[in-house]
Amino acid sequence: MIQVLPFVLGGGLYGLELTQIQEVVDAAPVYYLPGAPEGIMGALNFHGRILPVLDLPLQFGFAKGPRSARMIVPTDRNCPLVLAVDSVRSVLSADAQQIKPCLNVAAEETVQQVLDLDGQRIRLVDLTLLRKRVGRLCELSGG
Amino acid sequence: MRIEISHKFIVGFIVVVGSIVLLNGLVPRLGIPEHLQQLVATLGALLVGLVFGWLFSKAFTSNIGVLTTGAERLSTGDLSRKIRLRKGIASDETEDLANSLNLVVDSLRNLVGQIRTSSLRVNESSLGLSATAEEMTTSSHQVAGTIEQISKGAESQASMVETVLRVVKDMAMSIELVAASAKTLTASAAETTDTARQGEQMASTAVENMKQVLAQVDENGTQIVAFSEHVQQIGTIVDVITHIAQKTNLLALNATIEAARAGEYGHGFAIVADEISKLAESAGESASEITRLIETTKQESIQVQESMSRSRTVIDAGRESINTVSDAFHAITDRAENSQTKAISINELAESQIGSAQDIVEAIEEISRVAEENAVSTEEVAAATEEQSMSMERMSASSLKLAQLADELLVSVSRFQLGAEGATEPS
Repeated sequence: MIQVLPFVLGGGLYGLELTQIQEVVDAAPVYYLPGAPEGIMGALNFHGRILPVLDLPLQFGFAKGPRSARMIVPTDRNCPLVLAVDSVRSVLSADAQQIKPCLNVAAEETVQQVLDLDGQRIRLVDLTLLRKRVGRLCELSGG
Repeated sequence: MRIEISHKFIVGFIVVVGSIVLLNGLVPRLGIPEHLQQLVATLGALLVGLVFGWLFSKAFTSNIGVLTTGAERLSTGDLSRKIRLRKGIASDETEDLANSLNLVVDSLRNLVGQIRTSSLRVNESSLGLSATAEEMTTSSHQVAGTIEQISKGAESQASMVETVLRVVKDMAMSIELVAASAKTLTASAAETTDTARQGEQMASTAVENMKQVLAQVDENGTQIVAFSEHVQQIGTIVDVITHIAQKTNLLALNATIEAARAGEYGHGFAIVADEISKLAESAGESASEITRLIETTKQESIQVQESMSRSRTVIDAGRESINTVSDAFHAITDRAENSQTKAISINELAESQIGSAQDIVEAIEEISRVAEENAVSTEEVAAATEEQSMSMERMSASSLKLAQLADELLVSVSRFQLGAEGATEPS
């Protein structure tokens, strides 16, 4: 029995296990970071800590644009980031058997598993892979 | 010395007898033989008688001859000479006869001279009279011509006057028609005025109604605005509720996350968070439903306001139209009243013209009568002139006849020869 928070990126439905999320924040002001690499929208104040905001739809190859006011803050050890998404859906519960491996494509290297809920497919984002990818991005940018 | 013829015969006789006696005494004294004395005395006496007789008869016959010649001249009309006897020793009755004949000649001469003079004068006068009569005839012919022209003029005047009379009668009838039309016009104008006034009143009533409708619309507009404000306030409240619901939803979501992270221990908490999330979702749905309703209401109220604004514009336009209509009715009333006044004055004028036309007709009838009388009078004058002309012609003929008679008289008198003295004497 697992719980997943689904969210929309561009035209696709993605998700994160609730255990991987620390909090969902709403309407927090995002401060512009000068010199930040493309894909980092800025930074926000999360309970006294300054965390960078990652434009997740852009990472998944979707067009730029305004994102939802609700942003997802993953647990610290997984990823010290705030994820901006297009919209957040209600929490869903599923069996572990419904999680299936996903055929990888270049743009979605951070997605390894798919939750199949009676035809509704939710791509589960792998935060470790995402962190690696973002680190590469930061290194590229910093270099 | 006057000696009558008888006395002359006696004297002669005495002389012859005395001479015989004287001879008888004288012869013997002469020495003549006796036997011859008788014869010589006789012869002497005879001789004396012969001489005396011859002398006497000669004187006598010569006077008688002169008288006869004078009487013959007189009988042939020769009055030019007087009878003049030879102067003898003693005048006698032949002298008296000659004197008497001379008196007759004188009287005749005077008479003939006077007759001649008078007939000449008569001739001249009658010729003059004839000329005058002819002149007068010519004049009267001219007068007749002129009068004929006058008569023709009078006739044409009469016919013209008749035409004028007809025209004026037609005119009078036309004026009566005009008067009737003017009366009809007056009535029509009065009706128009009444109708226009009714229209004006109706228009002003309509304007009043429009004003009421406009006031109603204004009031409705105000109410709608107030209603919109209330709806706006509700919207604000619903926004707050929506916000709260969203917050609650987020809180519930984070609570679910927390519960999930708590594992088995957070299970009950997760259920509560799920319930809270459902409630928040329900509240949010209701709030968004309310928002939708408010939006619809807003749209509808905007539509109502627009509709009311349009109504207002339309009503304003209607009011303008009705005002225009009212003005038009007012103008119609004014014009109709004006027309009425004018028609009334036309009517009055036409009435007075009818009277005048009647007067004109009467006057022209009078003129016509006078013209006819003139025509008759000129005909009479023409007839009189004709008669006068004929009289003149007769007079001319008579005077010609008179001249002829005078000529004849002159011819009759002309066998009397008066000589130079007699012709010039009378004057």
